[in-house]
Amino acid sequence: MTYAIKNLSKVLIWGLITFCIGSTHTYAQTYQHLTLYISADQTNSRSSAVSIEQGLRTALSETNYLLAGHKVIIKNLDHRGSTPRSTKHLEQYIQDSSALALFSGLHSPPLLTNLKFIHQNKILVLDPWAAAAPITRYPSTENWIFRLSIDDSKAGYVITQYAVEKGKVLKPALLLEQTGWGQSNKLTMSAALKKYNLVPSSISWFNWGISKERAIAKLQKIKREGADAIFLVANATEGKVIVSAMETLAPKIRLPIYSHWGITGGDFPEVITHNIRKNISLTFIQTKFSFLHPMNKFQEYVFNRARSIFPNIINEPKDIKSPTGFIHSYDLTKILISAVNQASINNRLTGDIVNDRNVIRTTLENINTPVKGLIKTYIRPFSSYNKDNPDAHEALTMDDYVMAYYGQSNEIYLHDNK
Amino acid sequence: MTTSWHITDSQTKYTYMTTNSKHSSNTSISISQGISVVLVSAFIVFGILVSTFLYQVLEKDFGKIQQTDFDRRMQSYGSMIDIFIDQQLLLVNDVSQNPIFSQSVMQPDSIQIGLEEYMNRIQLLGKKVQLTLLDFEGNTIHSTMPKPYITYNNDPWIDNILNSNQYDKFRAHKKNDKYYFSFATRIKYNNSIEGILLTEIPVNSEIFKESWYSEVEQESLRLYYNNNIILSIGPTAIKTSKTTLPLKNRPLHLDGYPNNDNLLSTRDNIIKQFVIVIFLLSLCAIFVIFRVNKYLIIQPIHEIREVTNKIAKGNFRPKKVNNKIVELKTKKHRFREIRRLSNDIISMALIINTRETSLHDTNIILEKRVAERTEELQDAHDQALTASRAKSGFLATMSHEIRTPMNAVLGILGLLKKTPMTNEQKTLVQTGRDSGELLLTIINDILDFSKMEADRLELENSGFNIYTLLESTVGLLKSQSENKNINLELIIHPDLPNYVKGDPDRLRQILINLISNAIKFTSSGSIKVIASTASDPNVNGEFIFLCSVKDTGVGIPNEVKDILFDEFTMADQTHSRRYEGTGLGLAICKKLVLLMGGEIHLTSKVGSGSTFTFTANLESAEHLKDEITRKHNELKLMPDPGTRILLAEDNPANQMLVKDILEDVNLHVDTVANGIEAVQAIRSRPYDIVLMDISMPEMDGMTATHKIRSLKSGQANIPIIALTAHVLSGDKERFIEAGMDDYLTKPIDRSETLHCIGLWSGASKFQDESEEDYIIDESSTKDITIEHQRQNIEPTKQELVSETTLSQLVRDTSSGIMPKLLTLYIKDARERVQNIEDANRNNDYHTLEFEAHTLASSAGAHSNLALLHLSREIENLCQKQNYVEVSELTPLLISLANESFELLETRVTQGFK
Repeated sequence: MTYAIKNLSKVLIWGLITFCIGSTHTYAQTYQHLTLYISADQTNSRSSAVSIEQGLRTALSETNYLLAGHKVIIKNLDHRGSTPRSTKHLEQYIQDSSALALFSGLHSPPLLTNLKFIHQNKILVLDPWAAAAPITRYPSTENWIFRLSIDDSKAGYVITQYAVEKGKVLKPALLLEQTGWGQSNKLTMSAALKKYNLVPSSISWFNWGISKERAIAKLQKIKREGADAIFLVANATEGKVIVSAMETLAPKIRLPIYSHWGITGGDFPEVITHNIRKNISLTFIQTKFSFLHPMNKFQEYVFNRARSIFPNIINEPKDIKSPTGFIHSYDLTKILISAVNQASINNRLTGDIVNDRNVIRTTLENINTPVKGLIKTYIRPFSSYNKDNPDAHEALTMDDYVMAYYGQSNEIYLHDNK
Repeated sequence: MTTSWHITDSQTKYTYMTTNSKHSSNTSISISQGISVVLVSAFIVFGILVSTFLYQVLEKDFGKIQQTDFDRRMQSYGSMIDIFIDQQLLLVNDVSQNPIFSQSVMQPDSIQIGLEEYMNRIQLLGKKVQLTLLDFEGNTIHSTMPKPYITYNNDPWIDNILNSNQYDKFRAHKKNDKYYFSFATRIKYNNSIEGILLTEIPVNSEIFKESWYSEVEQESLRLYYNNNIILSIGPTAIKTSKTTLPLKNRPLHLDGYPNNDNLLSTRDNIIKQFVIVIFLLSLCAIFVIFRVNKYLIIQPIHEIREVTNKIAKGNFRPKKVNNKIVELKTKKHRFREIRRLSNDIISMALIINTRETSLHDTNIILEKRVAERTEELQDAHDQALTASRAKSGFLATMSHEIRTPMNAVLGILGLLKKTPMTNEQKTLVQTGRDSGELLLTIINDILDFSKMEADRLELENSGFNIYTLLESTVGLLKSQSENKNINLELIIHPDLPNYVKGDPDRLRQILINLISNAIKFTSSGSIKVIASTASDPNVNGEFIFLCSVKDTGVGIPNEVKDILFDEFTMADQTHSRRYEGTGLGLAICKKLVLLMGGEIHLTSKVGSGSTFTFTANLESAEHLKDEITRKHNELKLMPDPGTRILLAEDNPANQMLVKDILEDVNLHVDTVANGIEAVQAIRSRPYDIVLMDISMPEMDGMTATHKIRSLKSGQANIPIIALTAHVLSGDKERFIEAGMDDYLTKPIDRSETLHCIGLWSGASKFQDESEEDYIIDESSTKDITIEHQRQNIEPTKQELVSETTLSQLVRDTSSGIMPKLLTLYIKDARERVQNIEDANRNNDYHTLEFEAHTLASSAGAHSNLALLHLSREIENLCQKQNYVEVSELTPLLISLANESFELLETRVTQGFK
């Protein structure tokens, strides 16, 4: 009897102690700082990663690197385009109790391969560039990836529309990298051509690291098969090889290239210089903003701010290399800041990172104030994802895409779509 | 002592000589053997020396050649390894150039776009290459190995390749207890190292490709990587000096041990062939030398040996030897020693030859003389033997002839005694009987002696109670001694065993002889018979029986003591008038004692008495006690007085004898003469027992028995005892089968007959021991029954040839002599019958009477009883001068005689027991 009472009292006392500690902790919990990760290819598509960081920092500088009153640290990680390396970064994020969100880079495969991993571990991923269609469409009630970039499910249409309508292309050959990204583009491009009652003259695949010799062989083959243009899906590394291979061919057999934007991610314009480019017809898809075009006041403000933050790097608009990254990450960061503020105002942040990530995720889907960005002003940019709402995590629409080309100083000029 | 020393000495000598000869035969060898031993030894030594030299030289030279060859091979192995490593590195580098690897390390999920297929397709010289693709951390993306590692994360070599500028593209390492070579190449993407393409190949002999034949036991190799052994091929037990070959620019070195097994076996083969050649050469050489030897040494020696052998054997014919010698002389021997030897032998042979010739002549003369002498002696011996035989035969025949009528005389006197007579008559009869018995004793003695002379006496060996024997013998003679007022005393030493084995009758004969003598020569005083033993029984129970007969008689003078035991000797020739006797008694005693393995002695002093002492070997037979006692007791059964007996017997003499014996002991006896009467008698009167003769007229005993047994009255079960003269084997069974209960043999033995009757009539009384056993001979009664016989026109077979007479004759002589005896008799009798026939024709009745008399005597003695009776009748008729009847009976006699002889001849062929 006494033993039972003793036992019971023991249980009660320990329960009380545990509760006190727990509540004190919860109550007292706060962030020393919050961390935003950038996991991108800083080696092979360095300019894209740099550009993303510049956009992020520029946007964050507007809040003095504070989010909901917490200091924000940016951790820049280089996955070199390697999926296994990116997975390591995701693991690092999970271990970090201050890690709020992770900005992905230009490459789609790291995200595509890790989709399941990301959703299982509730990693808040903000995608300012990678374009593969499935990235934002993971079949799950909670969708953790938000994109402000071109969506491949639409890019193919834009490229095809431009090529057929403006370039009068009738028999394009698809030249795709042997990845999930390439696969998804094959589908959309084929579908888009079908709209014009066209079929690809051929579909060719290449692996990463393709040599120039192989590239030449492939191009010759495509030409032999009767193509009048090439729709290219490649990143800068392979893009450089393929374009330079095209330049090696006799002018007679060179084909106009209508490219996805992956080629703009690296040092493509520096390697494929204007001298080379002038021999080749090369157009590629971009989002509908460029610092090289006349800017409005806000856009000018942002550029000036960037110039003040990176004084030795950015002096004029063309100094922003791979501007896509800057523009998209600036806009995406602005949306994030807006969401954090909205959550903070509503006192929904707890200081428990796992909880707060989810709070921010749900808030991103429910932003109730317009966010002014470089491309446009975003009114409720994201919503809750489901099968009938496939574009719920896409901040941009097809109207925000446009075809573009390099200028003499490697700057990107936008074509007028219309 | 001296003798034994002699023997020892000569034995030793003999042994020594034997050993010596053995020794010499062991050590001496023939010349051919000696030469071959020397030659073979020389060749063997030569062969061994040359072989040893070759053995060493070959090993050294071969070793040099092998080392040079091996160094070259090592160089080749080294370059093989170099080439192998270079080739593998080149291969992996070539393969890694394919962009699929760089993409795969960047985007591992691109395996779906053909990495696996691609890697599986890669082949080198038709062999699949084991490739492993690692990512930037050393994790396996894909491997074509059967059991790849999941990660090489912790492998410093891999880590070095991924992260360091200084790295080795090749290594050897241990994995699952096996060594592998690893060849790696970096996979770069845009100049940054993103992975490794790795090929791993087990370290084994394949790296040497075709130059290593694993199935051949060649040299052994050890491959070291950073001084760790990673490959060991070839036999491990090779103990040759090693050669080390470092591989340039690589942390590898190769140790090699040449295998000199092949070298050694090659060397061994060479030596083996060499030895074989040497051996064959030796054989050829030996053969050649032998041929030479044979003609130069061995053959001459052999010829000399042949000659000496001939001489030694002595059976030489001088001429032939001379020829040989001449041959030997003419031969020229190449060796001086042999020539001298042959000369010596030639001269020796000539000397021996001369001696032998003279010796031979002397021998022939001697042999002739010896042969002459031997012939003379043989003749003398034959004559003596014939004489002796004649004497024995005469004695045996004569004794028998005398015994037969004597028995009859005694029997008749016995019967006469029982008739009512005056005292004078009784005395006369008694005197007659005593004289007859004495005569019979003398005749028996003569018969025994003649048998002994002819070595025909054989001792019985049966169990008996020696105490009883001694007591009964002494008891028998007690009446004689008492008549002379002499005290006869028997003293038996308690050591003497009760039951012994020996010949009781002969022992009794000796005792009776000695005691009778003592009584005879003692007029007053006493006679002591002392029986004891001279030795304890040995293991077989044999012991020496010692007996003394001591009297206080006249004594025997010393001079006759020595000849006393000779035949026909008496102590005092003058006494021969006073004391009757043949003088054979002691001679017989001596012979019997000798037969019993004993001795007989005499100590005597004239006037104060003599002591005869004899010994005999007897056998203690305590185990036969029961048997002896039973026999003794059985014999003693006595039928109850008044027992009713039916005697069926056709012969009146036998009827009378048997009836006399039985009535003497108060038994009631009825007699019948044949079987029919016997059956009628059984029917009409109650009898206790039947004595049934087998051969009877009208109805024989067998048939009568059968009739009696088939009667319905209680008499059918009456005991029937057969009376028969002939008992051959199987007869008893025949009688029993015919329904008879027992049998008695003729001549009738009183005691046995009474015992048998007592046994079957259920008697409980025993016979008086002192009663005298005597034998009534059938034949002894024959004369009285002549009248009866005459009326029997048809004589029975028994009368033609009497088995009883034959049995007696066998007892008197011996079974061996019977056929001869009877054949002689038949021959003689036939002559006499012929003479009778002639005499009858010539009416010479004088001759006829004589011949009839002679025939009768010999016919009676030789079992032709019917012939005897008829002859006697004719003789009587002759004496009565009734010549008419003689002439009538003579043809009858002739036919009867022929019939009798034929029957007897047949009987002779059946043999005698």
